[in-house]
Amino acid sequence: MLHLRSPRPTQAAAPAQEDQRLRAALHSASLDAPRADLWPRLQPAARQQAATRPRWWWRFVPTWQARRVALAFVSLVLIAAIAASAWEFFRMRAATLATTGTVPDTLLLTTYDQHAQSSSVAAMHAGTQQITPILDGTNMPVISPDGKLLVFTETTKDNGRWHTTLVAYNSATLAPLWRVPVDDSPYNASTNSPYLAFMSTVAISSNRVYLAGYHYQVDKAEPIVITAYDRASGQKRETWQVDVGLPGRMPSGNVGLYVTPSSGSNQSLVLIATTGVLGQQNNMQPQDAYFRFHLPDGKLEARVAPVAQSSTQPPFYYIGQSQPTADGQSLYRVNYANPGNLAVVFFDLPTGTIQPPLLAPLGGATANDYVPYEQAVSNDGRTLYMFAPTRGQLAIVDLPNRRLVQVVQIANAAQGTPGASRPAPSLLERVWHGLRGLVVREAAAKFDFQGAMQVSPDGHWLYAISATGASYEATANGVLVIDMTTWRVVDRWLPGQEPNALALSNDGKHLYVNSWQSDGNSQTARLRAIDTSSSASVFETTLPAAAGSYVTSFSSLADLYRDRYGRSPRTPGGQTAAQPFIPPAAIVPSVNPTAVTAGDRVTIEARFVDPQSGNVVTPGQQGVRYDAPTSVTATLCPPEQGNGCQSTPITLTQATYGVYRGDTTAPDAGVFTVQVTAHWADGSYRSAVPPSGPLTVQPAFKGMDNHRYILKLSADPAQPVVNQEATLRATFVDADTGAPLPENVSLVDGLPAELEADLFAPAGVSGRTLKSVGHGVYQGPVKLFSAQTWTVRISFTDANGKLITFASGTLQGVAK
Amino acid sequence: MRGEGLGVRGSSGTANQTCSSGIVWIATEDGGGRDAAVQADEEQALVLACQHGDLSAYERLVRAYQDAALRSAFLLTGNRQAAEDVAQNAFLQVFRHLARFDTERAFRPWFFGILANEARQHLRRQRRQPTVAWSLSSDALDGACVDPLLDGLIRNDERAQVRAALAALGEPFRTTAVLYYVNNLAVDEVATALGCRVGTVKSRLHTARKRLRAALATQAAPGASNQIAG
Repeated sequence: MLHLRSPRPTQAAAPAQEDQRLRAALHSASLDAPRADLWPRLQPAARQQAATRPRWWWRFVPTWQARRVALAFVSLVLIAAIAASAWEFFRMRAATLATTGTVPDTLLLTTYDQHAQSSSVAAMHAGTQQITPILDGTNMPVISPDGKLLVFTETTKDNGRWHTTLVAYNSATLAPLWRVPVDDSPYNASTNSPYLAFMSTVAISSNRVYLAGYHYQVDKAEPIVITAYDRASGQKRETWQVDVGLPGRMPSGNVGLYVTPSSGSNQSLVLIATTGVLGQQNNMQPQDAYFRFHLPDGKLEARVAPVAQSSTQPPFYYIGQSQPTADGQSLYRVNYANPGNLAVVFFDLPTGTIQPPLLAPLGGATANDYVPYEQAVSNDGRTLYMFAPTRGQLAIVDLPNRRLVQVVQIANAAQGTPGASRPAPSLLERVWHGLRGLVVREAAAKFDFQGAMQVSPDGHWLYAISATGASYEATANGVLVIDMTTWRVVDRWLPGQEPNALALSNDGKHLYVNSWQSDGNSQTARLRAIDTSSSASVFETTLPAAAGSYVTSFSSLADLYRDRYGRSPRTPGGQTAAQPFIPPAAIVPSVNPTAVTAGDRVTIEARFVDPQSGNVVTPGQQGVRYDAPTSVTATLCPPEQGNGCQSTPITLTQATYGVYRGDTTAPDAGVFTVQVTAHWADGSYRSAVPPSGPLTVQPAFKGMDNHRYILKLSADPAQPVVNQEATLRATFVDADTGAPLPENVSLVDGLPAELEADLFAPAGVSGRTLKSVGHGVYQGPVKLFSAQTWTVRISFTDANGKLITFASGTLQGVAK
Repeated sequence: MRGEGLGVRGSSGTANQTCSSGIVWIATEDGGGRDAAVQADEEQALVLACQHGDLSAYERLVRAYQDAALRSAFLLTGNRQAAEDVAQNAFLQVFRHLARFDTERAFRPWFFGILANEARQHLRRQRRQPTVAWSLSSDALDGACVDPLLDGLIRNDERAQVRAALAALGEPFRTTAVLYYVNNLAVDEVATALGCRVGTVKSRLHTARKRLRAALATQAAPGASNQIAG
């Protein structure tokens, strides 16, 4: 029996005695514990561990004291590194993102009404197709630094007067906040005098809206007036007058107004005014003047008038129409620089001086050669990308340091990926381009990009408009998806389409591709939304424009913000990275043969290939996304019919994995664009055209002997020398054997007495008559005036009075 | 007495007994089971040698602490097999983490802290396996190597009653009591081993003492004659 209770001890001795007894009891209770030698069991594991111990770094610090010192040192270094990183991070944020606002995911478009001679702005919330009219008599607004305010300059005409009003809108709700009249000028329709126009521009700070404006008059120099309005209420706060102070000159053109950081947390207001010679309406000798005012009192801090040009070409005029850098220290613009290259010109905002331009050699070699380009800035505004799609070259510029980082050749950009070629131009296009080339070369610059390239929020993808052709003949051709880590084109969207503006949703998930469409009376915008993660078409819509009006510009609020503040706004809730992009299999259509006679069978094939390797996809292939389409169809359409083509789709059936094939009978004579479209179960679809170009179908003429005859072209010499006369011959031959039309055989509809031959090339057009020189043989003199490929189009009237016209072949002109 | 307790004192006297396994069992008054050949300063040298991968030093440490470890583990788990597993795991943990052990600190509380932790983990695993229960009765001691000298002092069933009372203590009082009474750690060393404050240890000891007293008094029948201490 156990009995721990003992006769009550003295107060002090009791716990010690009880502890003693407990200790003895527990000790004896532990005597039943196993008695085992654990070492034999531990030895193998210990031996194994000992083989790797002590860790090599402890060998250098054998004692624990030394290890403590070493750990403390490493900890201090780590803490210092973390502190330095945090400091740099917050410093960077202070310089860029700390004042960066957020903007709603909204697209704006402006339309111009020819009759009212007025522009209006409408909005479309990204992800929807709903258009909300905002304001008439205005153009794109200025957005505030926090992205919450849109300020429009509205101009209306009433009772012979121009009324200019400043109108502020909430960018999220698109509800008007306030409006204040800023100018009321008489308007004389007959002379358009004395006031030609009230020219104005707006800049916004955290608490003020600044408006700089003047009345443009050819024969009078008026001061520029700067007015400060309360940002919240629109109440007028201060007004300053600025005399440009250049004798014999007047303000001419738009003025630039920028709120820029100055010393410490102070801000300055910079006004840059372009001046022209008094009395000369066309400002052929622009000179810029620079003024810097201290805020908020408006005290003049600095004046540079005129601003001196840099000694290095190209010059920098109209400085006030340039973009600021993200740090607010510079204005910059991309200019053309000879020979056929680009340059970035910089204007130093604190000092009011033009800096030496930064030349970007993009492979140009010929003076005054036109190089179509697009530009974009990185999300932090530190890097400028200039892309020349016709040359496939991209220049990267470090904006804060005004340094050309490198020029990279974008793989596959200029050459085009499979399925990316643009279809050959239609007859109308060829005639138009030829005539335009003869008349005015400037008008032939078809590569007119209004929208900039787009950089994805995660900085991984660059979306750029692709182009085919060169220089003035360049034509937009779909959208390139460029991997910014490898500088390779990983996909090409909407090949064959001619987009001119791009916008990206704030989260980077949707790319909006805009193309103008004109019916000669009005110009509408065809807007397509593409899912950037899958490249599937999300929606496609036509932005309405009334008769006589034109959609003139298209932009996201984020783009407006970038243009104004040099960097991307923050996305509400933080930057959301775009979904990882796995390039989808490219569709490569082909048609075989590419030139046939009417009635022949043609085979159309669509191969789904890895865009990187060009190989047909294989089951389970990694790095490329291929979901078998639910159907694949092809259409043969005359190019001039465009989207209005009513051709019956030809169904292509799966031949092997990733390859679809079908055949059809070649239709009547003509040139046909073959377009293959793959459809998926979710309603998305993608289209492509063969890289080999359109299908040319020669007309076949029925002979009295029931044979089919076609017209065969030849020339003497086979390749005519430029500006030297040559002989063009057209001969009816058997479509199957190639034998000439027998002497005793005629065509069912009779042989034409003569043929009209029209020759088309980018340089121009030429027409000749081919006289009959034998049975079914016609010839005539031709003279080509450029070393290009000339398309020969034959026309004649048959015995039934029917005009028959078709492209019969090509002639290659060669230089002397 | 602790720390220096290499001799054998007290009423239990010296107890050397060769068991069937042929292992020498050295019982000491302090219950620490420390090998008489390992002095405190030598212990530090052994730890340092172990840190440099000296297996013979580790072997000496194991042999010095294994008896105390097995007895503590037995009291903590109430199962002989579990005690061996726990003690073995504790030694492995010691060897694994010895490289980071600060030799300026005392090895003993650190070791028993690891052992207590291993025992807790074992019991936690046991709770998830209800088929294996605590075995505190003498039935669990079949084949046990029992010291006949002490057996004369306290019989098997009485020792079982003490273990039952210990088991009834529950955690964390059981571990605190074993570290204090069986392993003879000072209050501050128990606090170090268990990672708690000294006041907490004192409080737990007070509770443990009270519960043990109550439990053992309840088990004691009237007219008990075999008191362990007077």
